[in-house]
Amino acid sequence: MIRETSIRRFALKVLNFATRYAAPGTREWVAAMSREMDFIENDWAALWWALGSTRILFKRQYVPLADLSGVPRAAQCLRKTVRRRTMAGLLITLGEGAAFASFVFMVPTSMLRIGSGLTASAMLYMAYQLYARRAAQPPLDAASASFSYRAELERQRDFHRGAWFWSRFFVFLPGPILFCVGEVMSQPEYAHAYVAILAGFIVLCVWAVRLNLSQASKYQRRLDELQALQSDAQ
Amino acid sequence: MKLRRSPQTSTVLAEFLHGPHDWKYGYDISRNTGLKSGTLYPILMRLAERKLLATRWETAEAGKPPRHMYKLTADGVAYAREHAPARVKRRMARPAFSGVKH
Repeated sequence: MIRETSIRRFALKVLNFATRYAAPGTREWVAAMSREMDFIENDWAALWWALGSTRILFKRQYVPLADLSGVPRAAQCLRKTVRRRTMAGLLITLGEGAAFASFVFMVPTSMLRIGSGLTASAMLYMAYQLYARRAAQPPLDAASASFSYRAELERQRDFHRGAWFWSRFFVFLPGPILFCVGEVMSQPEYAHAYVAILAGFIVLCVWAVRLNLSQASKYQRRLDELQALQSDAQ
Repeated sequence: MKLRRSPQTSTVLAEFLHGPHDWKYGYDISRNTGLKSGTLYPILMRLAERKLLATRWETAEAGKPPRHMYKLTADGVAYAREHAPARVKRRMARPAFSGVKH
């Protein structure tokens, strides 16, 4: 009989959390991980085991379609994910936008004011993109689900690539760069710190491009999958 | 759908080839391969999605919750034999008792 220590209790809490928030297709797997806990004698090993389950939350959100009967459920999952992501995105962009807009009136130099203003505008543009072109959300019956699912997949794909993405990227780029340059000019003694921030920002931008393009490919794969299933059904 | 063949996937396939017809538990596979749960389970899920891995819940004894078990399907065994690391293939090809000196 394994004694229930605080580490093990925490590990179980992690697994319960993962089970609750796992996508429908992955919940069984998180439950499977949870069952193994009874056979892991070392508490720390149990904790590492449990922490692994959280990786599945991020890695395995998507349930592949076996046939067209799975489309309403996939559409429902995608709709929920997009709604959650849109809300989080709006909170972040509007919050940051408001912060940078207030900097316009607080910072001492015109370069900093321009940087802040551009960043605030870019945030508003991002918020607009998150909100715009949302598809109508009819009840997901078998007839409308495929149409609705395809429309949302296309919107998500286009959000992460092409003109929609690159316009967002290039609108966002100049503000923070000007802001850092302005800081370097107004506070030369901290130049090295702002150069480091700028370097970090550029690394983040490269990462953001990669991430967005890979997300776009993911949505395209789902569209191809849906297309293949619809072709098979005809 | 293509299966991404990472070294970790090969390791898991090799582990299944040690007893291709036996059902295995997740924690045992993790211990034998040294893979962490967050690496192992996504691999198991991908294998199951591609029908290379069969899964079932063990019938529970009274008072004990069931455990999830895994076994390669016939396609999975064929796939694993094709893609297992060379050292595993060599071990499989070696006849029984070949190391015994007379």
